Amino acid sequence: MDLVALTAAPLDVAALSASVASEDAGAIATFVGTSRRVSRDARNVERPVRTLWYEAYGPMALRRLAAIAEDTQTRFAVTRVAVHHRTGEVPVGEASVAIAVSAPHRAAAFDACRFVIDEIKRSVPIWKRERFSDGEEWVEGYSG
Amino acid sequence: MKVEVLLFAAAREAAGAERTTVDLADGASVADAFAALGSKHPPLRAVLPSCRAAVDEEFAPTTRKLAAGAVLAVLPPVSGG
Repeated sequence: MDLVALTAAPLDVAALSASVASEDAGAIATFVGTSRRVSRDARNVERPVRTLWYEAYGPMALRRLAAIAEDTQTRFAVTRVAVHHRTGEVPVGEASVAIAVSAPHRAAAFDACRFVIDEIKRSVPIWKRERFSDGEEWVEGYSG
Repeated sequence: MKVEVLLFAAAREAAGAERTTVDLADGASVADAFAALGSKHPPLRAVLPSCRAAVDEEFAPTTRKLAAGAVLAVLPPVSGG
């Protein structure tokens, strides 16, 4: 399994976690981002989401994910970092992103995991579209 | 020089195309390319101000000078993760 990947298939969080396991690590922290059922649309009205769709600038998204993983290794005392992001349709309740970080000690694993998701939301060229029963909209994103 | 442009998400929908090309003077910048895109695809004008640019798969400021053969991407505010 590649440590950093985009995939249209459902994410395998257990496999991702196993991929960062190491005899040097005493901790593995994971984060899973999932699609919520209810969302507030552009007019701040609550609407049930039918499904979500993720579009990616594939080559650049992979570069950014790899760069974030590398940056994480530099900033935190971690052993391995894995990130998989799903593209295409992601039904409500399913995972859109999964992160696993192994480290000798848990503090770094937790902190690094948080850093990775925060960086993904800031700088990876992926866009979420919410499909409601009566229309669809791009989620208002981070514009830096 | 011709510069290939990739459009994503709201930018793609506004332009009605995933990719397009713009004809620019040598030494033109990303800002020049965005202006040319707005001329070629007027519905893009509402979207471009909130978009970031990437040149050859790396974020680039609007002042970046473009070379022939560069691939410019127009990236609306990201919402991954």
